[in-house]
Formats: sequence, structure tokens, C-alpha cells
Amino acid sequence: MNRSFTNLLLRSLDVPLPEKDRRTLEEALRNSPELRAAHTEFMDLRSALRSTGHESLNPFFAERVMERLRHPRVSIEEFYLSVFRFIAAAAAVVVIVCGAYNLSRADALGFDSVFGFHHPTFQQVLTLEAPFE
Amino acid sequence: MNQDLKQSTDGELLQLSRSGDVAAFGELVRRYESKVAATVRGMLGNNEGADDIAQETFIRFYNALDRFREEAAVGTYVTRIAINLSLNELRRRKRRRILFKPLDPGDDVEEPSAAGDFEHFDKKEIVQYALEKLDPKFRAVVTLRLIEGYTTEETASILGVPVGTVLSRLLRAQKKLRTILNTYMEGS
Repeated sequence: MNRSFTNLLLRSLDVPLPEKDRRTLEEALRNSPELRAAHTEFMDLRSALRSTGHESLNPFFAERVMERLRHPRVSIEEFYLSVFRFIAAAAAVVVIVCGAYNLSRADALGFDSVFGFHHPTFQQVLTLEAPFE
Repeated sequence: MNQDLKQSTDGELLQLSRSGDVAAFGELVRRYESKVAATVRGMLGNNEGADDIAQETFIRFYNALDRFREEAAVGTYVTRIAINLSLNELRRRKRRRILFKPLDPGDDVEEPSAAGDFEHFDKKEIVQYALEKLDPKFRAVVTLRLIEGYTTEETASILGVPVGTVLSRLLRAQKKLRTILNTYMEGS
């Protein structure tokens, strides 16, 4: 089945087609039993689907919306997100304070100084001596 | 007063709502409730989640009142919000189904048996089932174009896709629906 005729058929259900397109479609419908079947099938499907149309929600829908507008509720996801943000911000502050403290006690500036890393010597490892003792 | 609101145009109700008149917004909710119901129930089926998404649609609309410039009709605008929220909800359900499949069978659609155990399903339920079997992007086109009766151009504008895409999705959705419906209706 020609795709352009099918598209024309679908468009004809929206708005009246221009005269030229309308004639083309009518002729195609006359000559093609397949296109006629597609037209019938489409109309059947549309009426079946429209029969499922639900036009109402649970009772007092508008009242429930207005209630939510007056008293906004926080969803569980929003609650967890706000808790996570708080914890992340607090953790960042702790990291900065500890880093500043380490830096103030260090001899040189650097990544290891900020995080308080110590590099044990080979001798300290052999004797299982803690590097900072 | 309520009678006055009922007779007001959408533009007047919008203006009143923007100035804080909650009752005017309530009238807009009542006016477009059925449109939003058709969209969310078409997209999500007949369940409690659909009602929540419909509520959220109007909450978002209320929060966007100052940004809404009335270039689109109110109905089209709320439908666009409802479709986007429904698509997000379907994505969320899909993720949840993947993660909690053995624990959470609640979102599964009751499936009519093709073997003949479909007497207790009427035609409407079978069509609804077939609709829910469609991929969300096809379901959106079918809901807007075939159930709500938007034109192809309006459907394309709401979904933000070209007209050609709407037509091709409609054809593919039609084929898939035909396959599903034939399976369940031939025996009934």
C-alpha cells in the first residue's frame, strides 16, 4: 500500500483536504481495496479507542487539588533529596575544616599535607613502626 | 460568585488566578479535569497513580501561571504537562519494575488469556490492555490523536515532534494494536 496515500488518509481525518488531495485520495480509495480496508480498520480502531475514554478522575478531584495547593506536601523523594543535600554540605564543611587544620600543622603545601598522609620509610615498614610516632 | 466564575472566560480566570484568587483556579481545574483525565488514564491506565499525576499536572500549571503567555490554549498546555508527567511516570515505573520485579507485581497489567479465558474482560478492557502494551511514545500519539481527537498538527505540537513522526508512529501503533486486538477478540 502506498505510504503517501496512507498519510493522506490519516490527514483527511483531521481537516478537509485541499481539492487536489481530496480527489487523489478518492481515486485511490476507489482503486485500492487494501486502502479501503485500511480506512475501515482505522475508523473501527478509533471508535474502539474512544470507547475507552475516561473523562473523570476520583471524586472531589478539584477539591483535592486545591487542598494540595493550600498545603503543599513533600514527597518522600524530595525529603530524601533534602536530607542528602544537608549531609553532603555538612561533609564538605568537615573536609574543608580538617584540610585547613592539617595544612596549618604541615611543613609544606601539597595534597598529602591537606589529607594528612604520611609516607612510611622502608625501615619503618620493616619494624612495623607507625610513621607518625 | 461561583456562577460568575463559571461564566468567565479562560483568560479572565487566568488573570484572577495570577492575582491569587484560588477559587478562579479551582474553576479552571474543574473545566479541564476531563481533558487531563482522558490523557493520564489513556497513558497510565485506570489506577491510583493516574489520579496523582492528574493532580500534579494542575499543581505544575498553577506554579507556571506567571510563565504561561497564553500562546497555546489552556487545554493544550495542561495536556502537554500531563503527557510529559505521564511519560516520566512510565519511565519511573519501568525502572522500578526492573529493580524490584520479584517484589512489586503491583504495576503489572492483568493479562487476558488468549486461550479463551477472556469472558470476564469486556471489549473496553481488552482495548485498554492493548493500549497499555504499546511503547509510551506510540501510546502518547494514540491517546492524543485517536482518543482525545487532537489533529495531527496539534499532536505534533504537544509532543514536540514533526508531523511526519506523528503519522509514522500512528501507523506503527495501529499495526501493533491490530495484532494485539486480533489475538484477543477473534475468540470472543
